[in-house]
Amino acid sequence: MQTLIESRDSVNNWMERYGVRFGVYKNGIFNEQIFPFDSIPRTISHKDWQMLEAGLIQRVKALNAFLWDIYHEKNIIKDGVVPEEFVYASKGYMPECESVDPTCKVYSHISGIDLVEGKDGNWFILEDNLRIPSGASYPLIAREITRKVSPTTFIDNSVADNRGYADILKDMMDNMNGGRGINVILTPGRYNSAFFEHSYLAEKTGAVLAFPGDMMVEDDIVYYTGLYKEKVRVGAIYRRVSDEYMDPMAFEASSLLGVPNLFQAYKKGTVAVINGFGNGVADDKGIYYFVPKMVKYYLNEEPILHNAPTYLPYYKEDYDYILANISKLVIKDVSEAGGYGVVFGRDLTPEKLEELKNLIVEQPRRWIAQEVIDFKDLEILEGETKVWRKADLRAFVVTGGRSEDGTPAVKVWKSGLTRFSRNPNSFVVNSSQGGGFKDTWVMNK
Amino acid sequence: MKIFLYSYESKAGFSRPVTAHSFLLRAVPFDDEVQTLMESSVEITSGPCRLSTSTDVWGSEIVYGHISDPHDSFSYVSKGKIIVREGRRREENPSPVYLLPSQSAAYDASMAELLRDGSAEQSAMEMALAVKEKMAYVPCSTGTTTTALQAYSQSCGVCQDFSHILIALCRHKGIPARYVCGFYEGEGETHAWVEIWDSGQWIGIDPTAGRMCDDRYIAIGRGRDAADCPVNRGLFTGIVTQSTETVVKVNEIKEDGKDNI
Repeated sequence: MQTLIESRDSVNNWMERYGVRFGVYKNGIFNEQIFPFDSIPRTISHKDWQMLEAGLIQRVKALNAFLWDIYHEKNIIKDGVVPEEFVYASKGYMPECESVDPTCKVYSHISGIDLVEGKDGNWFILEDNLRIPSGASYPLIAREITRKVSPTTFIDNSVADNRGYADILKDMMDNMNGGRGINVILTPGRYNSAFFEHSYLAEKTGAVLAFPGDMMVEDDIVYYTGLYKEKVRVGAIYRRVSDEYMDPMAFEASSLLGVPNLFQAYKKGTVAVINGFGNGVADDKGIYYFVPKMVKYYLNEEPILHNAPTYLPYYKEDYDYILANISKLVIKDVSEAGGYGVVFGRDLTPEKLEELKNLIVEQPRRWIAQEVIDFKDLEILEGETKVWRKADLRAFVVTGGRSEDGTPAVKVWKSGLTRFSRNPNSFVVNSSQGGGFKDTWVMNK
Repeated sequence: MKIFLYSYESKAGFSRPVTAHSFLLRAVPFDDEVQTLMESSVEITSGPCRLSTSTDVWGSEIVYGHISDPHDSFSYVSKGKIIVREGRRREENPSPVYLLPSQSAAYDASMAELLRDGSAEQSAMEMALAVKEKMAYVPCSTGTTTTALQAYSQSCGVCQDFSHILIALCRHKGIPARYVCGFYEGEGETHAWVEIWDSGQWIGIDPTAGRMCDDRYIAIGRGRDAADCPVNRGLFTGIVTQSTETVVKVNEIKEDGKDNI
């Protein structure tokens, strides 16, 4: 372990040489930063992992069932489990997806589920990311480099091998593709914050890295024309471009990042799009509240993993509770993403608190409130000293691989992205706000 | 009931050849309980091109394709023969999205002076008249992405803006409303109007003319607002200047097939 800790600088140097970076836009200027790696791994016990794995599979199955239902029969609305306005008023709801059947009914192929471990050892779900969750490449490459720098570590410690992520991805892409054509990873380009990841995953899965303009649609079939201008049919697109920019003929007309008329090909079922269209309706911060109810509704099971205690001002009881207890709650703006719309009541001046209360009174649907969870802190190295910092875990769940009974397999990657906050007083671990990451060790015993 | 021969012709010229040209057209009338399409065709007249067809989520027919080779013009003709009745389109449960504000048709408190009370049909008609009263029809005073509020604030616009304002008002009053794009009898450009939903049927109202729609209105596209049903969307590679001409002709014919004009 000691050699591993000492290896921090060499791992960071290697990562810099490999170009492991993420980009941040600040005031309209693109800057690339390295994502600082902390060499003390987070360990997850075998017992905890078994519980997490079962809970994550259950949750993602329910979320995929919800997406199918919302864009088809809408039974969960008819049965009064989820109120209609939470669905149709959600920014993530895409009416264009009504009655469209994605390959094998899978919407969220790659789900990034964010969790935290409380001081009492209980795990809580913070949010579901079902659109284009990023971050898997960082722990993958960090592990690869750590194995070089400190080869004995993984012999001495019984850590689950995490190098299989690309195989899990490839198996899913191949299965969704169904032999119709090549697999591609569509990147918005060099100046995207996760470009390193796009190129790394393309290399690892053997998919073609496609840039905007490399694909075209003819007779409802998608073709890759990138390298030699020779048309090659595409069977599955792992896209890292968001829904609204994916097809300028169907959505945002000014987009140059997408593939014109791709959505029509998707509707006709000639290509798998990974992740599917319209997933934002299920990872909306307002819909989060209902996910445990979805587990019961679709799977008839008790949820294994719990949400952080959450209140919706939409419900009278919760509304009263929030207004009375606002100073001890976290308030989240459901219309924003990326960690900027999260406010801790205790950090606000009395005037600001009143202001926030008024906003909640005016637009109750726009907000959710949560109890502040007392996270278990993790040790990190700050210079040469060990200090404690808040951290979360993004688990990656892959849906749609081959299985014996033909239903889409759901697999949890035995690792994950552990992010920590740089600032000792901050609970926000979002990497766009300056934190770093650790390797995540899932123990075999 | 009327029978029409219609044609929609569009010619785009580019100052230099363009490539990798994708397009999507909404230029075919609905074939439903109000309109019966007896004949229809869409043809790209500027050169050979394979076309695909489908229906979008709002029910509009779409025709789309891709031209890879360099070309300096893009023309197409949509034409056919159609029977139009004075009926109303029936629907039991319209999508709840027709009650929610959309990007170009969002209500703003400053429009309150145009709100009217009454039954859905009655208040919608009165609000349409209020829009017509308030707004001046000024060609080219707005663009394709002008919102209801922007047009309202300048008190002038075209049929698209009149429709967006009426839709915003209706939705604010809890009346489901949608945008309709189509042709009107005679010769000119495409037109736009509104359908509001009341008691199981969609009722056409033309706020620009300040009247209910009748059998002179041929609907070709619809959606939450104009952004859901542009007649033509395209994207190509090339730095060019573009000139486009479009002509709509809708002529009534007698049942024996002879031209009425």
